[in-house]
Amino acid sequence: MNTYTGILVTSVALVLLVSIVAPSSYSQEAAIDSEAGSNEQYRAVFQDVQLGISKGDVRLFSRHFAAQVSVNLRGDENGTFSSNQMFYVLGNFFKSRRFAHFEFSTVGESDATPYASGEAEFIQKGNKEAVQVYAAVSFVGKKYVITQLTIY
Amino acid sequence: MPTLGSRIHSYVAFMGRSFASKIVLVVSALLLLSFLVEFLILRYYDRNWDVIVEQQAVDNLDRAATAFIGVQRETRRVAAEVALHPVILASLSESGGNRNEVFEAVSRIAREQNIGIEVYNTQAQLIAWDGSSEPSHQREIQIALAGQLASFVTRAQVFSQLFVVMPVRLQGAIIGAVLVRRTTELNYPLNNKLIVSRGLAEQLTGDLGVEVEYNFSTNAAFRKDGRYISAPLIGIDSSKVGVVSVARPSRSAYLESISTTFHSWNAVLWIALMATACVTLGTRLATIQTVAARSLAITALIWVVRYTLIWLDLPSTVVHISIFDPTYFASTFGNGLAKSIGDLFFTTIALFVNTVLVGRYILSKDSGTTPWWYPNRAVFRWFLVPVITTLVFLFLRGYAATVRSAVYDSTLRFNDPMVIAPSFELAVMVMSLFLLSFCLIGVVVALASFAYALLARMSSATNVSSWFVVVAAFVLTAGVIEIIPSDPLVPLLYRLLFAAGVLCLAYYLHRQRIHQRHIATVRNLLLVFGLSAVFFFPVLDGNVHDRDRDKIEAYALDVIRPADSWLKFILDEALEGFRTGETVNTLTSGDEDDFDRIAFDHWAGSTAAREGYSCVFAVSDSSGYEVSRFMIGGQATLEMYHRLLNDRPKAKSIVVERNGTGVNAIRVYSGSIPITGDDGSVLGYGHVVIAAGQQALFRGESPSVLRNESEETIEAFYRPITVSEFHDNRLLTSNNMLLPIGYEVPAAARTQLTDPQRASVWVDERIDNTSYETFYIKRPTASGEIVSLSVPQLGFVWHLISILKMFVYYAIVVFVFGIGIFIVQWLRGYRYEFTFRDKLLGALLVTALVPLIVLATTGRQLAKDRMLETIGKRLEQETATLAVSIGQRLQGEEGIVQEALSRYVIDQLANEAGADFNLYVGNQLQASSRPELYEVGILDKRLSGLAFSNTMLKGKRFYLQTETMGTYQYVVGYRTLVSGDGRIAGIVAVPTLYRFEEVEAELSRRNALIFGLYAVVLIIIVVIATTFANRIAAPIHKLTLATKRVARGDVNVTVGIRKADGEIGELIRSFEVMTRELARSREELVHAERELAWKEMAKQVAHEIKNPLTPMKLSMQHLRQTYKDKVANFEQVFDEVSRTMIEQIDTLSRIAGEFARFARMPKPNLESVDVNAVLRESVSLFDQDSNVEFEMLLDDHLPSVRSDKEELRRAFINILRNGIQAMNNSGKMTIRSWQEGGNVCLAFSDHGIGVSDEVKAKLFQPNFSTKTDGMGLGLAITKKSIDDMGGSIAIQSTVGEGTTVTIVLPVEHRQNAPRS
Repeated sequence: MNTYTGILVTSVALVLLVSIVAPSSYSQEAAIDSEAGSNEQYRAVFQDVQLGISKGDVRLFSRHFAAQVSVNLRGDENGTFSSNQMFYVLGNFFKSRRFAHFEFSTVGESDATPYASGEAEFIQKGNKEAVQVYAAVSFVGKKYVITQLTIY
Repeated sequence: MPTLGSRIHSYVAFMGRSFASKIVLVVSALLLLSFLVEFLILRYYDRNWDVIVEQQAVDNLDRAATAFIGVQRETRRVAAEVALHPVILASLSESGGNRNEVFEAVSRIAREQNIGIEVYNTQAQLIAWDGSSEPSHQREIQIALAGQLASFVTRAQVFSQLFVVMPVRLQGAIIGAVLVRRTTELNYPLNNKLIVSRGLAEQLTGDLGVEVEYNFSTNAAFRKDGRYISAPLIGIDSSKVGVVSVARPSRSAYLESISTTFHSWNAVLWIALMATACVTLGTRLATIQTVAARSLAITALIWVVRYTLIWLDLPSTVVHISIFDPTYFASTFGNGLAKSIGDLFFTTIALFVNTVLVGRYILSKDSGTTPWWYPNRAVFRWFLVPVITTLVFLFLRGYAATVRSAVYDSTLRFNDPMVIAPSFELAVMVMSLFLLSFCLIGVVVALASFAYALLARMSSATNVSSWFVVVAAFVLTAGVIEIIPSDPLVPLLYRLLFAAGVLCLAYYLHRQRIHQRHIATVRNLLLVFGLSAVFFFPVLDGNVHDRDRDKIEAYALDVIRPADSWLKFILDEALEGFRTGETVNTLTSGDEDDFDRIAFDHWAGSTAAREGYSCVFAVSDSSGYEVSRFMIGGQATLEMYHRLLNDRPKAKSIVVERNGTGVNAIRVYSGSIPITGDDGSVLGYGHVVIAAGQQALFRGESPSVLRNESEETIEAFYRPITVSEFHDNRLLTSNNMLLPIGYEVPAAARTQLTDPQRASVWVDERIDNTSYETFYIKRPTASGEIVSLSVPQLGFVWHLISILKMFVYYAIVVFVFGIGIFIVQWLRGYRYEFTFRDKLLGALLVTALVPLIVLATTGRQLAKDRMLETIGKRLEQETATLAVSIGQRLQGEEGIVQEALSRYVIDQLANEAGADFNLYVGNQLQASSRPELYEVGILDKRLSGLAFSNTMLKGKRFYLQTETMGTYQYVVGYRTLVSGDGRIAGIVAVPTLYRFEEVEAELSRRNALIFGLYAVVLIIIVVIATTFANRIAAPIHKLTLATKRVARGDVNVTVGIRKADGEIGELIRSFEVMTRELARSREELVHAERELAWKEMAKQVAHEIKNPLTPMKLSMQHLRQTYKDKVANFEQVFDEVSRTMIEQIDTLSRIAGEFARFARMPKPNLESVDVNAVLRESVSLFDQDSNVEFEMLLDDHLPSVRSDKEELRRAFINILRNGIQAMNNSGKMTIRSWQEGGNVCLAFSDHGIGVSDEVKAKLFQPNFSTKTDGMGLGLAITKKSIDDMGGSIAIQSTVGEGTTVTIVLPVEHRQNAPRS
């Protein structure tokens, strides 16, 4: 074995590594669409959000995040984050809170940015807290994505 | 070769007796113990929870009460200090002191201790003060004047303050009283740079893990719900000042906190365990002989460790610092490898260590054989090259994607020119990306070298055509990537430049390698770092610019998004907030103070407050009478509120109204909600009114100080954003006053937006000599309406400052890296010897940088002073304008018309002056154009003590004072208003507080420019100093090298500097004269010695010939005499003599034969020869007896050659001996063999002194030698032998570096076919 074997073996190892490390996707805004999708599309998104919040599992609706999501969480983060960041920000939020059953009570369909809101309850450090949940979606890149999420 | 079993056995044996194994055993035992203890504790607490919870609650309550006592005690100590202050004592004594001095002393102590102070005389008159004035505390002052201590706590809307009142005594007599106030609670959940204090309750809640609540009311009752336990708070005078309540810990939360504690402790143990295992395992792996296996094992170890850390959530579990916070950066790729800045940093460290460590192993000693996997067939080698180039560009894409993710998935401000010193998070991120760039360049250069090696068939020599093929492959792949559907993330030009850069570096390193130079040098390291920087900056810069555009597009979406649903939600959330138990409790059992703050408290906790809407929050009782109200913003909300007060709905009701038309329309959202008690009875009503303009994004009308700090707002964007609205392509409204009335959407945008499929477009435009990048977007809900967001284009200065800043960051990273290497080397015993150049460069840099640093520091301070001066002048002018306006409008014959200061008039005056202001009469605030801060108690309604002293007492007409709020310092200009009779009728004050963003932006801009200027100067200094140091030190350096060569025996040396003058020139000339003289003497000596040798040989020849001649002569004389004497036995004598003669002639013949063989080589005996075997045999002759290390890089598949084995061995020995002698019998000699076409090639490379071209030309001539102990025949004989075998021999040599002798021999004919 010699230098070149070393280079080959290391390269193969690093390529395997980079294929894991290198992000296949990153948060990037898709083109803004001038049209809108169907009601069923955004209702499906809200259903996933509802399920995700009820179960405290961000993975159930993280695929619907827009490239940038405006978020407002009770006792936690507040700001605009990328979809990748949202995965961990919400993950951390759910980690320390246990949500009871949650359902959206209102789904606004009148304007171009559908929204849904409802009241939820969670338990944190033994304390029960009631919060209002607000989620708004926009039609971007031929699909509805969550642009705003408030749990406050 | 040890087997796997024996390896494992030896490792286990090693672990059994090593120190590391003991550590592993101890840590493992501790871990087990920890798990056991955690289990037992959790079980114990779970079973005995009822007892424990009570005890824990009592302990917590005790700590909360004790904490308050501690604050009280500290405040009392400070009060006592103030009461004994000599200036205060003097002013309160009968003699009386200077009141201005008292103000100064009080102000100084107050700022040092971060408290408020008031000093009273015996008539309870205020003598001096610093800090807020609310509320009135005359009763407590009277208590103190009666000789007693008093303490009490008051709760304002934002703060709760502890007061300690103490008598001032002089010689036993009470001469006055001092009051000291300290903030104990922050009642408003704010987090910005203006309000930084943390309340006692918040602090304890964090420490104890349970909710702590201080109720500072003398009437406060204990909490009745079972979740809390309460205790009274007792003041210094033993009176009750309030109640502290502490929540009982919840079982799950308590057990969870125990688990968390154990988790942190276990994490430390895991780290210790892993570190020990890594060190021992790494040490063992480093002993693996095979480079490939060792590299793979090290790589595997590093990444197993990295993923284990991720799995254990380390070190974020133990170290709670911001770089592990996903709000700064987080990406989902790599299953957690970059879930935060810290994780990305550790990943890049692992990658960097991997690259360096493996690179180091690869560059270390090799076993010297062709790898087993090496493809013999050319087709495979040609196939591998495009595979490698594709990998290179995949790496590049991966790298670009990571940089893109670092920009897009983060909230860091990478290239903000206003930010000079990077934040900790940004610094760590930039360092990670630098390291990543380094790894990219390192790996890609290695791959480029590998591709070349495949094409050049492992040849060490430079094969230009192979390099051309590699370059072509790179260029081709860079182009082909373009047509692949996946976005390459970097443009074609960048890819081509990248390929050019790495290929140049690979070629440069290859040249170094074939010249037997060390590759792992500081210079090469800096080269890789430099190339990394060159390729990092543009990728980052491009992404930042793209990201800016994306952000603006996101803001645009926010602007055009109808806000109805959001505002209704906010209103709903605000109304629901009134239904909390706290409101019900307050309405049921609260006192007047509690009522006052209900509205503010609800507003403070609402989204409406956080988003900065104009709003009214109010509570009315069951009969509709207002009990609490807080209002912020415009009048529109107030009108609606008055209508709401009459509403007493049975359920929540919401009304939306629209005031005004077009883009100026304001929507008012209002609602009421009944607040019911436990029994269902209506206790009161909560009312909320929120107003918002069309542009929902610019809704904030509340002061910045009342908002939480957020960098994600459109206003906080580092480039000022202009928002404009167009109808039918004509401008309707804009917040950029430079846009002319009737401005139209540019034709380029207009044309594109007419396409119904297109919603938005980016256009570059120029307005009033400023270039803008503008994003035009159609409003989806209204036909013909377009909204645009513009930002000034990034100019040359912006790019320059950004690059300079990155350069400085980069230089710091490299410097830190260099220091790290230096320390490691120092610890390993290596002492770096500073050269003359290093010392000279150091001296020049110190000489230039010290005054520069002094100048920069002074310059920055001067710039700051100048800015303060400018602000002062501006404030002076504004206060003067206001003083005149106020004098004209409000000042009647009797001075200020105190009752006539309506909000309308104040707003009008502020608009005219272009500045917000406060108006004081006496020491009390009479009016303010920004009353919110005074209403909520953040700013004091009483005039600052020092301002009062300077204006009212000293009579200054204008006084400038720097005041502090939180961490922010602002300036206030005070101007006295003088009435007609010459008395001071009031004071007008203009603070810069309300425009602190503007002031900060200006300061940042100046700092950025100063930074840019000094960075340029710094770079120029470094370049000039390096150039001078190099120029001055170069002759010395060359002279040193030349001297070293002479010391090694090479006297044919020239320094190579023609233009040196002065002492150094003289020195060089003298040196060259000396070496020439030395060379001449040496040549004469060589000549003389050679002549002597020839004489010796002649003598020897003569001697050898002479020996047989003597017996021959004697025999012949004997024969002749016998013949003359007619001896009888003549025949016998003849026979003897003739025999002797024949013998002696034979001897002469033998001697002649031997000398003939010396001059003439025997005929070669050609046979099939394994060259590698002969090489190994030849080397083995020297291997034992010399100090030279032989590196054998032999092609095991080499075909046989047809030659004389003995002659070949003799030739190899000759070359090896020459090499050994050239290296003075020490060093490393590399022997390579390979096949090239129909030839077998051999190369012998030494690191000896080398020979000049002149000498090289004579090396194969007979009787030529540079040595004193030879005949000069060796290389001549070798060449003749090789020539006789049909081969060739060549010599490449560089003086001072070494010599390579290359032999080419034809492959034996029958084996010329390709190998199988």
